[in-house]
Amino acid sequence: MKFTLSWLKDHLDTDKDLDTIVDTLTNIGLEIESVEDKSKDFNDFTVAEVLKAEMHPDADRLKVCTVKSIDGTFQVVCGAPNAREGMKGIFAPENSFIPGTKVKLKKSNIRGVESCGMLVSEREMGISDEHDGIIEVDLKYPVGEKFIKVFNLNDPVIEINITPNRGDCLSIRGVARDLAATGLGTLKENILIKNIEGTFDSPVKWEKDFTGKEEYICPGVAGRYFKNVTNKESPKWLQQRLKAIGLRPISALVDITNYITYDLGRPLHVYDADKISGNLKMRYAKENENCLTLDEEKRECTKDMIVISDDKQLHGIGGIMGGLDSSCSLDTKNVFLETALFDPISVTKTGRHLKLQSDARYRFERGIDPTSINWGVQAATKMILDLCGGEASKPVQTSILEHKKVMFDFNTDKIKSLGGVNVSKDKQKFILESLGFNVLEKVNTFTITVPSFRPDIEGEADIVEEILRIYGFDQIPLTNVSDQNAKNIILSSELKSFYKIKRAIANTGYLEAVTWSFMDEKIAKLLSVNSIKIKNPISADLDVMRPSNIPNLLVAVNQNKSKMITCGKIFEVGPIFDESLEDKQVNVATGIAYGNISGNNWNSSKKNFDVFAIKSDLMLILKSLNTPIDNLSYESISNKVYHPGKSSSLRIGKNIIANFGELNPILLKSLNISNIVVAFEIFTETLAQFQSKKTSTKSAFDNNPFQTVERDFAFMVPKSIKANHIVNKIKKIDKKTINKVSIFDVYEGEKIANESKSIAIRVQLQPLEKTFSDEEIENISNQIIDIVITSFSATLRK
Amino acid sequence: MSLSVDSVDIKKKIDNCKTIKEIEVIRLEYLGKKGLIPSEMKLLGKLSVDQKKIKGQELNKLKTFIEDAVNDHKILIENKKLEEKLKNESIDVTLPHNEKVIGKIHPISQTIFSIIEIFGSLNYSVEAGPDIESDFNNFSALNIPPHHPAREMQDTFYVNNNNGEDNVLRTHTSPVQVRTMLKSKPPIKIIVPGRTYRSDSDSTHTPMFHQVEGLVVNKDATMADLKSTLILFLKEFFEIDNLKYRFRPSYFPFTEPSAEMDVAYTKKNNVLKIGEGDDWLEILGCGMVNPKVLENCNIDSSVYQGFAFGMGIERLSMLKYGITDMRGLFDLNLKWLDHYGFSPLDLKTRSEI
Repeated sequence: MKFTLSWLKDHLDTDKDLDTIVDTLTNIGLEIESVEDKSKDFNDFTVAEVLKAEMHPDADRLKVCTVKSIDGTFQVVCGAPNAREGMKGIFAPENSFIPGTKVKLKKSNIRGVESCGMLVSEREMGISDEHDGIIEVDLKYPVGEKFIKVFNLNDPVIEINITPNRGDCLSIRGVARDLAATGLGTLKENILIKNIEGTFDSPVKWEKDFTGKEEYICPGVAGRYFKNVTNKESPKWLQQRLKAIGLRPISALVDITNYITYDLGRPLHVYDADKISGNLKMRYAKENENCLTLDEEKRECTKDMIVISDDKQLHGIGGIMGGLDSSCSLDTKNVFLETALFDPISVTKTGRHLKLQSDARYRFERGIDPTSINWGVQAATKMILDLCGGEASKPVQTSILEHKKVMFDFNTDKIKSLGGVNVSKDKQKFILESLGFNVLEKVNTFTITVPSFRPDIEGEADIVEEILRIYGFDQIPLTNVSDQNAKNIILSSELKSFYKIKRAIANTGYLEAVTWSFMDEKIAKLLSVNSIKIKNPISADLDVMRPSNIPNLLVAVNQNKSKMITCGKIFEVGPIFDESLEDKQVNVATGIAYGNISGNNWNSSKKNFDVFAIKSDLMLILKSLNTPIDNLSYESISNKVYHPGKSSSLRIGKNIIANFGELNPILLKSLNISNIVVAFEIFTETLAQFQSKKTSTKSAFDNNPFQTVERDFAFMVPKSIKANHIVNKIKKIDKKTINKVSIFDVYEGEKIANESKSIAIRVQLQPLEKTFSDEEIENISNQIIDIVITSFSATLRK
Repeated sequence: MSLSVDSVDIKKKIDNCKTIKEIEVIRLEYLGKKGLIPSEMKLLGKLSVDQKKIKGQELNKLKTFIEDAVNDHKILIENKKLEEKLKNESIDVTLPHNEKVIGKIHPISQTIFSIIEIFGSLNYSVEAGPDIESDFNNFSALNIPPHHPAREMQDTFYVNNNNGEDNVLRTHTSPVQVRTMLKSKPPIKIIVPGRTYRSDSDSTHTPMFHQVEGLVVNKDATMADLKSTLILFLKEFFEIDNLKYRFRPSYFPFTEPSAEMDVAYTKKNNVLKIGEGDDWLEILGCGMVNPKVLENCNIDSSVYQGFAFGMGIERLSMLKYGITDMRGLFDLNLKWLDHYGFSPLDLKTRSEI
């Protein structure tokens, strides 16, 4: 919403300066978007007289002018064809900043002649594209008169943001009313609203199809007929105001409707009455009916759109735009006026459907003062008769749906109990009445009648806002909000594992990334048949919710190659989505690793990240979140993310805690990745059970004094036997004394039988009550050998 | 009778030795089976009890003295030898080590950690909810009417629901407020950080972003408390004592009164400094919970009231950490992630341990 300061002052009697007004606007919720005060930019430029204009000695098209400005006489070289002796123009002195070209003017030498200052064109001043010659001003202006005064640019232009609830402030009068409530001025009488009697009956009548339950769609329309008007260019003051707010002056009749739209927030339409056949009617459009609108577009209407029609054709789309065929031109002699009301939702739907925005739609969508149907006609009458002459008919109107007044009681203590600030009852009343509310004072309450132009006000909370925003949010005092009472649990166990795991993973050397929750369906369908599709994706390759976080992270592999980064460890903690999941989503900490483990160092193994490298990271992460990793059991993975033979799920109880392994080469191939990538996925919620600590006390340390013993065994087992089965079997022999079972060598190859492998196991034994005797050790060793041999078809290697 | 040897001489002899072998010769001379001291010891038996005692002590003393001198000098010679050896063992320690990569926490996470820490100290609990939401939780319960522009396909992502109705990708984390109010009774004091989605993509908007919202519902929370909470938060978050701010009226369907908060900033050499200056930066939206929202969530608005606030985590991150390109936050440029990321040990607690 744009307006000029002088325009505002038509409605607001105030002696406050621009800065005060601007600050107040923001403080009351009419946030300043911009303030354009040209008086500062143009201060240096004044009227000057050309005393002499002679040909340049060395250039045919240039003239050497002697210019008299308020500061003296200067020699100016000028290329404008209209520069001549005796004219008056606008002089830019040396060192002034030229707004149109954005350069600082310096003394120069043009083909051997010194030039001090410049006579400027409109384009150089940045006020139009005109550059055929220099500006000529009327000789009546004295030398030294300010440029801004001659061109009426000394009226600051203010632009404010209007929140969607404040349709009433899409008018300059509404803005003035809000400002007056703060006490920085008083609201003037509205000079446009005057009852002017008509002298004849209108030959055109308004009709509407909307009655009964549908009447709210178009609650009413009013207007009147003007005969023998003279349409012409608007007067200068009107043109200047429209130009200042970015509107193009067209003709007096059209400019009047635009002016009233901004001045009073009342959109209007004027029809060339001679181009209307019969009466005008508000009705729903018929299917496939067309309307040629003012912007010269043919609009195809649908059955839910309100249109204005005569006996023959459509003349406009209700609340949005008039028709081209009956638009007013400079030849228009007779005019018919429309002042209508429309349902905001209907206008919104129509506007969206047609993709058509207009000043009228903008206002109808946000709600228009229902009483404006009458005063709108009055304001238009006054302006049309004042500017275009002619005669007005008696007003005509359809039946008008009665506007129900909104009334309720307001407890004046609410300002304190909700707003936290004391505002006296008198002040509360003053503010409300200034804003147009009717206030009936009782003991602790006001009975409030809401003005017709404030459909946004529905209850006490709205009144608190009205009073507080005018009183000033800055007047609300500060309180002590530190809470010394209960110590809440800040994070649930689920959230603790969700957030804490980020630190654990980063601590293992992974960089955290954040990627979209969406991905390309073409890739997603390799991973899941139950992906959740987005109906209106932002782009075709982000059209499904990610069923796994791995493909998004894999983008890093090729993306960073050009920077010679060929290895990486990356992770993200976030949701994955699938129809098959309970709640359709689950949080996963996903990590990928690829390339050389320790960079290409002279001293390092040239080994790439493999399953056991990522498994080692995974176990460290799980351990740092208190997961009892000794209790993990292995289970094969059923999805297509991983290499079927080089991956596993890890389970504790009923929960899959994590997956890990080498990624499926088919997936990698579809992403054009040629190297091996390994990955883990940790289902963070399943770790919640390990996060709650009831007490920080630890159990006593068992400082067992007896000698620990180690024994090594080497077995030949079939290749299919899983190492952890052997380890678990051995542990089960005696959980108390068998401290640790580790595998220190695995061999498959030429020296042993085909379908076999050799596994070397070290068992650590810890006596509990006294040092082991040789016999005891022998005994346990034999048990170990026996159980492995019988359980796994193993043989002992000697 | 006294010994015919002088301990000082022996010491000298030992200390003059150049090799372990030479020492061994001397050691044998005095301490070997046939050495001086054992020979003398054998003679003790022939002496009187008194003399035996005196002589015995003398011999033992001398024995210990020689043993110590031998050992000391042996160590000296061995160490000398080792030193000689070490001189020839030098390696080029400037050769590069095996570089271990340090992982990093993403700036968005770091920001969320900070926010949780600050509001945690004010006794807020953290809540979370699903990204795919019902229309009711995301819009209707929050007093956003059916024709509101935010519901347009161009603003909100829709996904199919099994029962034919559309679900949305939540456009804010407010639906978690609705869920919390529906499942628990006041007093409520929560913050909700999380992923949010809007159909927007340009240099300052991404289709996915993060928000944190706060909700307090009890019998007496006021706008003064709201304002104080937010000022306290922003001072802590930006680690500044003086915060020039502006609390101005605004409009949101779910709050009444509604406000937006601006903070002052200065820009020097392309770096924003928050807290002072003549320019304003919008940083958050807030207000008193609209009674209609409370009623929609089965909370009696004649008894309970409260406030809510919401802010964009990307913006907070960018301001705090000097990140200029928003899209970098969602990219997989490993150099970027390393540059802007935080050490996992960079804890946002007061003591930083």
